[in-house]
Amino acid sequence: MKRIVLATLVVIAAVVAFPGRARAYPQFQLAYDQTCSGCHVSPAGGGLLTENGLAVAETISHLGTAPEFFYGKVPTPDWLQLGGDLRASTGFMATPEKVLATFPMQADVYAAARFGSFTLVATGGYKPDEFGKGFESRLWSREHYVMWQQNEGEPTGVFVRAGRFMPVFGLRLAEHPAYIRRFGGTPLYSETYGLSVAYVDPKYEVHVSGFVEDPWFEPVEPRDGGAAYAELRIDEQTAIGGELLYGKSDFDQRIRYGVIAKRYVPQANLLLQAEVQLVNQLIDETPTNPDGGAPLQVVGYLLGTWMINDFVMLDVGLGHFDANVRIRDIDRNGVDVNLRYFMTSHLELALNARVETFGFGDGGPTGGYSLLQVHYRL
Amino acid sequence: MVRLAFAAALALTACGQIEDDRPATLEYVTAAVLAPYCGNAQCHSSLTRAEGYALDTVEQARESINFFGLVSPGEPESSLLYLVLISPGGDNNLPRMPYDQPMPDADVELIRRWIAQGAPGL
Repeated sequence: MKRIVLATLVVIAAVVAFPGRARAYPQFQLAYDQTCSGCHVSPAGGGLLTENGLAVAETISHLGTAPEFFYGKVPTPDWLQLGGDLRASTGFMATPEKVLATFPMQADVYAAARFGSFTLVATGGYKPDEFGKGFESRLWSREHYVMWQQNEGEPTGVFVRAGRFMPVFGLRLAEHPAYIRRFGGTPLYSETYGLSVAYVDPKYEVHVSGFVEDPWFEPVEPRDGGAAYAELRIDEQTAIGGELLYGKSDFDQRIRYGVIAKRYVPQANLLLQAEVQLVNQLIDETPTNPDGGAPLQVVGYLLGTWMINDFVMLDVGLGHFDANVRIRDIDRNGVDVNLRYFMTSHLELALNARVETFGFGDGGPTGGYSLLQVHYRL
Repeated sequence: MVRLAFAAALALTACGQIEDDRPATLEYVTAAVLAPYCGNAQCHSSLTRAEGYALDTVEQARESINFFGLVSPGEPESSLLYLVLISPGGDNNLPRMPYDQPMPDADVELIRRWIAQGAPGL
């Protein structure tokens, strides 16, 4: 345990101590604004963009174009915002089965209606169809919630949300295969019903969420629990944070706790982000599993993002997931490379590649993928 | 520097590990292997049920394995659940699973051991 704590401190210290001085952070959360809510309707980020977020989308795109919903050709009243995301991917996967694959990733439309300090947010769209069921099983709403905010229309202050959304936890990366999401408590489709209270300030933010297992859709994270996330921006180039998540299912409990760090290196136009999580999984004792089980897991991710220019961004991520630190060679280690080109304020092309091994080559087959992703924002 | 630190951190976490003594029970296998690697959202989750079965909770795994006959207790070499994990894949073979990420040999061996021991908990 001491070794793990030491390892965690080494990684965080390395990120925070990396030399650099800057006037601003380079990319989405920190380059153009200090908070997620500076660009997104949600205080946790993702989904619909605010007016400032739309301006940023235009600024970072190669060819510009009007960033509004359908290029501003579908006017909406001031109280209503519409949007959406379409994503598809194609490429080669070796896991180790070698396949060429083309698949839809996301087809969601968003709406937000604001009435004073209250905002109703809802998404609707595609989900993978449930085996043996018809077209209706492909439709759902991943998020729908009512939000109250202290400062109407402002990105700071108190935000209270009730409804269906992702509990606020960890580095909220868009790439759901990233270890820190897939194995870190916020895997794909793990939105659930809950209540979240957040205080967002340019210098710091705190999010506390409680959630329950989704009573309507079979949940991806079938747990009741709570999450807390806090982030402190020490200066314009450095942020550190802590996190805690507890979830209880019908067969286990998981307690996740970790730290995050972010550091901008202006000389290289590079943002470093790191998260290290420890996970205590407590598997229930039952008559047929009398010893239960209590594997200690470690999930880590170190992400370097290089803004090559205004509209090309390169991510290199190093991921580590050990499902049980006591057991030899089940640790999974991966390298992710994502190259993004923001062609217009609505169209993004991305190359996503990964190589991953177990026990640094001793624990199983090496796998990976190389995919071209097309992302169109309505 | 950062990469060196990260590698050092990984090396530190790898110290002192032991051979696999994990319980070979349905409950443990589901919680530690099937749910995270097979039961993810777009595959054998209760949400999607690829091929009709779900492996993301103990109850669902028990029901699916029994209903579809995925395991022959005591006979891993006759159990589809094990065979898809060791298949070479490609034409004329069972597809290799998981299809979207590799699985560590130790976890495949845990499943083999669980089936060989009579698949307790099923």
